[in-house]
Amino acid sequence: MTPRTAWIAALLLAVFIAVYAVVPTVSEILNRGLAISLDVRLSPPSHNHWLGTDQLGRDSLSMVVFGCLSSLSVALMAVIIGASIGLPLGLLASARTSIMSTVILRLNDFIFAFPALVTAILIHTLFGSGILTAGLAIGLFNIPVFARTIYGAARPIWTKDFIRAARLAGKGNLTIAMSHVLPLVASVALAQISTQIGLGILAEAGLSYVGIGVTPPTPSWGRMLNEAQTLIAIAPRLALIPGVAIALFVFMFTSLGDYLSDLADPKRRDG
Amino acid sequence: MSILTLSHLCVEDASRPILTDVSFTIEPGEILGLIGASGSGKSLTARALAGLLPKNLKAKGSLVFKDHTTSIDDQRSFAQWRGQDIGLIFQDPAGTFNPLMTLGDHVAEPLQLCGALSKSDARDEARHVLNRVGFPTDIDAFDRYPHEVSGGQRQRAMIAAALALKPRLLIADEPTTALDVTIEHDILMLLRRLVNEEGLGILLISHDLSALAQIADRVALMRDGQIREIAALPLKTGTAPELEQLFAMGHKPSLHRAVSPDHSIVHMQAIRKSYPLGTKGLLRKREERLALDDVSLTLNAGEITALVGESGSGKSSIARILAGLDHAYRGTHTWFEPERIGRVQMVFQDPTGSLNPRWPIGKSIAEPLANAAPEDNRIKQAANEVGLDLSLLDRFPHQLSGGQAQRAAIARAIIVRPSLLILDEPISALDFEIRDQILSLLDQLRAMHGIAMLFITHDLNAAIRIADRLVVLDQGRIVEAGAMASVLAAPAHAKTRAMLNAAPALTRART
Repeated sequence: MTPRTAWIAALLLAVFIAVYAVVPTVSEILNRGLAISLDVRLSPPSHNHWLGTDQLGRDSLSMVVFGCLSSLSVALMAVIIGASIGLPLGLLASARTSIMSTVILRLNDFIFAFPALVTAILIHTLFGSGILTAGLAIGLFNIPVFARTIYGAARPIWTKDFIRAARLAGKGNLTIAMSHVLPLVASVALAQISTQIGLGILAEAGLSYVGIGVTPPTPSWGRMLNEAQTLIAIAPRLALIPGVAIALFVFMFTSLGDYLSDLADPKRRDG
Repeated sequence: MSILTLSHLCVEDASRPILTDVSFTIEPGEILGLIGASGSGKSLTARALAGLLPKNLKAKGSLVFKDHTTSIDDQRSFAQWRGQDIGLIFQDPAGTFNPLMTLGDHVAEPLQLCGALSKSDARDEARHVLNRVGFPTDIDAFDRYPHEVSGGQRQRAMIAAALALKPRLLIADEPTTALDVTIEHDILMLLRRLVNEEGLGILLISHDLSALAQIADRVALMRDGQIREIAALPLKTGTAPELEQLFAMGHKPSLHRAVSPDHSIVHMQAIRKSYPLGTKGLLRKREERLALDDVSLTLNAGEITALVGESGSGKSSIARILAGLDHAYRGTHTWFEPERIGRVQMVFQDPTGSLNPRWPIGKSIAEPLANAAPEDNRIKQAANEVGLDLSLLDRFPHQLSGGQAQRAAIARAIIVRPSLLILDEPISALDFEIRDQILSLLDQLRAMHGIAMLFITHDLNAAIRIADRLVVLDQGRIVEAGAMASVLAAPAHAKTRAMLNAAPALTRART
């Protein structure tokens, strides 16, 4: 990861924040926003609507900006749930082969084996729809992903000689996990976090599609994609806008994550 | 007529020269040994001779091979020669074999592709070649897969594959480094026999002088990308001072003293350890492999006990049990020292792998100390004791040489003044010239602190150099134990005698 890529990503982040801060105000002034106006539906980009309008005449620029919030909060929540539970579990399971690690890993398989959608619908019936439900449903499936990845990355580290030296220095499993193993798997965790944010945005789209995620009229990138599906021949632009937004966002997050993990690695910092 | 004449080989990457003016010849029926520390350019020379230089390097120089003069970067000539006229053997045979092909297929493949033999002819010829490299007749090597045979046998198969097309030149890059000492001896003798019988030339690359001394006709010393000296063995006095110095280094007098067990540290009594081999059927008894069988051992303060044996003989199992890293065994071990953190410390084989890559050296050294500040005087003192430059304390493991990293690992081990220091192959990953420095350091530390040391090694010469007592382990049993001098004078067990015979004696090169 070159610093230049990281700079581009940082610039992108600044643009995202700036757009997010400015556009609502501007769109408020221009009195467009998320209002439905069927007389201008599916209009191409113009002076009034910089990115055109969708099938209900809503301004696409406003949609993509406002949609960022709901998509991202769902994805972030899901990642936080997944990482905060899955990461310690994976680390714990990797420390040594025991009943504990077997239980953790088999529970993983159990969650993997369940159809995600059925679980999501179950959560939906329990808690109703909304950002929280979607985040919880996706987050639940993030747990085994994190646990498995961290387990896989941490397992070979536990067999290294410096871990044995640490044991001889009187350190217990917990201390070794925190001081030796966790910093060495941090880059893997970061990479997984950026991947899961991207996947979370897509998953949110799927859940919104079946009515579990964000409910209309709140916009979200996922639902924008889904709604654009049927119009792909008439107005491909509608699919392109949220698609590009997601791609840019995931790129930004991955690059920053990579750069941060490089900073933590003395070997690559030199090279 | 020489097989190969290499003249003025220069290799450089964008910024600096890597090889400068490397020239040598290899005669028919001759083994030219190439020795040097890691990073001196040995392997790059070998790759140049096989036309396998990395593309980003610029190479100059010429080569006479098969009465044909060519430039070193003439890929077309090399493509013709490689495999046919120039055979290659690498260090790690496991990594060079395709795990899904039998050994026979590996040998038959070049015969079919380049030798233009039919499939059945190639297979017959492959069987013949495999026999020639000395596979035991009761094994049908042809149908075995690489993982089904031992490391030594894999290396034999590798040699067979390289020899299948009857090359004139064999390039062997550290062919025995991964092998046990008795097997190393066998492989070296096999190479010597093939040279004598078939008149091919071998370029034998090694960082282990004793291996070369056993079979090479001439030795070239490489340092910083240059050939410093080439001399015939046995060395004549005054012809090659640097090589002589190297040979002398492996020839230092033994440091062992008469055994006087004044103060015992730990006593292991009748230790048995077995590993499950997996179950066959639900109700049948689990099969087990016995790793340690009735092992009893006493270690004394200020004494270095060498534990030698081949891989799989149970050396590391003893180390783990003594270090308290393994609790699943039968038998007892009794300590005569109070229980405390750092009572046992270990130094491992791979120095960089035994230091956390993300930690500065000083932090690693301080690890056994409970809450030590980075500026703690004990860290500096430990670094001084092992001869580690204080400026290195802020560096990271990858910035250190192997010898420096091993000194850091030793500093970490002695910072808590352990009663017992277990050294698990502490010098086998190091360059020849560094080994003796580390051995001398260990001997000093023993004298300074009166630490009991258990020196685990497969290198009998190193054991003889510093250990006071010798314990020989064979298949989990102690077959020989006693004061070094008396064991050397009269080895009781056949295994000990075999190891002593196989131990590459440097004296042979000097007489």
